[in-house]
Amino acid sequence: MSGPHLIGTSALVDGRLLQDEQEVAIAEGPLEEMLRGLYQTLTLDYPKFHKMDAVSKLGLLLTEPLVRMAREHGADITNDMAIAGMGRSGCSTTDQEHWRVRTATGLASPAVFVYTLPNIGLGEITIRHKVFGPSVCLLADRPDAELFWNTMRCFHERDGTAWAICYWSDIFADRYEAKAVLIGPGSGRPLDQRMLRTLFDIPT
Amino acid sequence: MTISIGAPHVITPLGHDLATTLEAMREGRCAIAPTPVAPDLGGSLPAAAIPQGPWDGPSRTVDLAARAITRIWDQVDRGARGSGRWRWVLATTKGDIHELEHGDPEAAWLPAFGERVARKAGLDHDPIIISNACISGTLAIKHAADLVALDVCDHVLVVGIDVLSDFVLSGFTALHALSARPCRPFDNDRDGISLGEAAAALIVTRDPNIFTHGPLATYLGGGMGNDANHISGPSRTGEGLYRAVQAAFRSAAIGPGDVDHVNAHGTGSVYNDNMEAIAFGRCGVAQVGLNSYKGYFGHTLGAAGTVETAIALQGLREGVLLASLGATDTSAYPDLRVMHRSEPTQGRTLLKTSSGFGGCNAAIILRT
Repeated sequence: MSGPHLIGTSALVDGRLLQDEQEVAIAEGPLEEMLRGLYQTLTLDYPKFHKMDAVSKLGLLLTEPLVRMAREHGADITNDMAIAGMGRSGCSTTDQEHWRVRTATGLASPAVFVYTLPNIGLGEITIRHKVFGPSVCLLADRPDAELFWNTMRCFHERDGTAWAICYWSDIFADRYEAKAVLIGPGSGRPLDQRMLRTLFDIPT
Repeated sequence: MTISIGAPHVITPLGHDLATTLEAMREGRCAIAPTPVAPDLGGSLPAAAIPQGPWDGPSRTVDLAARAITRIWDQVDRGARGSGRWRWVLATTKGDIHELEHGDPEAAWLPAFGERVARKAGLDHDPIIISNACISGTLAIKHAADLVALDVCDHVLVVGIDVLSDFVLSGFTALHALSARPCRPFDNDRDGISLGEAAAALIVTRDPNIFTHGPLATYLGGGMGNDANHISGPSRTGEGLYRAVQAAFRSAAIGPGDVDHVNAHGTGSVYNDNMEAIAFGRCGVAQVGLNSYKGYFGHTLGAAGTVETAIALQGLREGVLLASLGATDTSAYPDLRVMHRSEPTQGRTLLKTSSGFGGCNAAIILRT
């Protein structure tokens, strides 16, 4: 198995979904409207999207270009792909919505409650793309290059998966952050921790 | 490289340490009892709460986690704590969600919770936080072992914690997932889960000599797999769990015939236990003595994998396979060897599995 290489990147900045720094979709408006606009622009045709909470939608849109890219490179998404998701506030926005409904009505909404786990967005990505391989949901104050690097090594050297997506996504109030990298074998740039630090804009 | 696990400490609804908890389980005691909840949830629900203790400070949750950590140092050689490369992994689903209930959502963010636990426990760095629903505790042990195997560090302190809260109880009530009586994993009449709470800590290390009482077990391997099917419903084929166990077998370089005991997830929900039965059949371990601990102290969510691993290993060390409490009629699973009563064992090899919302599954294999 060859060492890990950087195959591609994606990011969502100011309503622009970028793949390798090139715009692939753009949408405007408040967060939910913007996410819906990106979904339409990408013509995903995935009705489950509309049931998801915002942070799950964000993760799904962010990783969509990278999964497509992996397929174009011949990756076996189902059996040979791992995913590490990382965020700061987890599903806090949904937690607050669950608690608002709970206290306002005396009852909880099952449709909201099932999204009050930080890893559900990751689960949605595995469901959409039939990823049976390993995945881990990590929480940290800020993107952590060492944690991404070590986790990616675990996937590669311990679990034996050749392909991995590492992403940072976070939503709190109307602020969002979303960046992702696709790592795989072959002919890209050999990956190291310093490169991850640069890609995720982590100060040295 | 040999990877060892040891210095376990657990705080459960059955006791404030591992010996007390295991003794209560050997006696067949169930900690799931009517527990006061908000009037609009019925005023009382069956759940398993940690008994009153010396927990102090502004947060009981932080204090429980910190006490689980500080108690492990009694079992570690004095010199080891200050030498070598240490990491610590925190496994939880909701951390201190009471902070959100009290109006401070940012204090409920898991990194903030991890910082408070570190401060309270006297740890000088923040944790790696794994929040993969109900597999968090098992996955944390796997991740810790992987970090040691990759020479990222020498020792990893693994901590699992989740506590009862209105936040979670109201959610599971809304899902109609709670049983009106103590849960009965793998029993024909099971009808839902019981929630519990626990804090547990243990150490994963490359150096078995750091433990004053010796290591509890050797870590042989682990795996993780996704159902890729539904965020809150288990796979009908057990695909993710099957893949997780197969990956664990490959990693441990053993086969199903080498497993002496399966400590399953076994929540007591109709669909989860069905899924596990199918997966264990596919994996070839259906005839291995199997139990779930949820009938003793409920489902402790992100803590479950850590606390249940510690108990299962200590049970093997003491030569006992514990009964799967609540499983009296398992005739729907004629091929599955559910432990109806506790039995002595010479077995040493444990397969521990967990499954969770999001469709995630983890399996680890350890030998005492």
